[in-house]
Amino acid sequence: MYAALWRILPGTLWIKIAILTASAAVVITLLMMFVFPAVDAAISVREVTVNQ
Amino acid sequence: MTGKVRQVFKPATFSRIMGITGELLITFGTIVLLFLAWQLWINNAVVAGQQHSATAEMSKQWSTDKDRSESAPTTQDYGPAPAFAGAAEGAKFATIYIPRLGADSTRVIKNSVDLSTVLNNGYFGHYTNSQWPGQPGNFALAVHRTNWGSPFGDAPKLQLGDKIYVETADGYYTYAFRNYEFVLPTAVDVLLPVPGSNASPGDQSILTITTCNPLLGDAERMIVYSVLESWQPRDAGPPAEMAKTQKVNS
Repeated sequence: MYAALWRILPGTLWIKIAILTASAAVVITLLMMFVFPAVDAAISVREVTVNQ
Repeated sequence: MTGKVRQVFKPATFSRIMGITGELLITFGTIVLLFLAWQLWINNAVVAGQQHSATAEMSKQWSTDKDRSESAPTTQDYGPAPAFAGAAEGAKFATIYIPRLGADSTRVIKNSVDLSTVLNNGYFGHYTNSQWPGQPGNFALAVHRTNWGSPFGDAPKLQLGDKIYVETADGYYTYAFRNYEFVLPTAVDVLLPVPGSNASPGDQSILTITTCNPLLGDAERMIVYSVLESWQPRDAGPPAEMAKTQKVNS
């Protein structure tokens, strides 16, 4: 999978590294802004109130 | 001949599938680790930062022309605290500062204990059916113990008499820590005007904070009780200990 991705990417070694670094940054940002808050709300509910 | 080609082809397909599966699993594992880092440190720091600016904004909104660094003489008695007039459900109406939990422990209090809109954003939540600061009875709050930007992880370090400051548009309420209690999540009697009792509070004002127990779990609740010790109006300036942090904040 990643080997194929590496082969598809255009350019020299450094251009490939730059493209991968930039896309990793985008993916991580999207995860932290949208995916993680949604997962957090769904799976890690910790109650702190008293109720009946 | 064809049989031989097939024999070479089949393992190649299998190992390619295994390779992709392995890469997907490694990717998933990395994302799980990233999620943990986000939950434990990144989100915590982001929410704490938001609370920091929210408290500074509220103080600015309330501030008078008086120099904030100037504080009232602690010996002066301003008489009994007037009851806070109340706030709409979900509204920000006060800030709370607990010096024992650190100089950056100031948080905003909202009038609701909703998990997703209030507590998970680092706010203290006020139980809407409990009393207000200065009112005889119980001013009851809830807050996360850890994560979600909460400064409350160090709450077990509180010592008898430690000050808890609540600031509203009217002025400054100084509470003194009294004791802890560990109860089940159904123990709603901690929210009564006199916690755990049907007695009348007289003129006593109590501050009750509920949080989770054990640390990182929610099988029980830890309750932090304090009593109202003194009050000073806004134009008298903040108590000395509070003035220090507000100078840092602004």
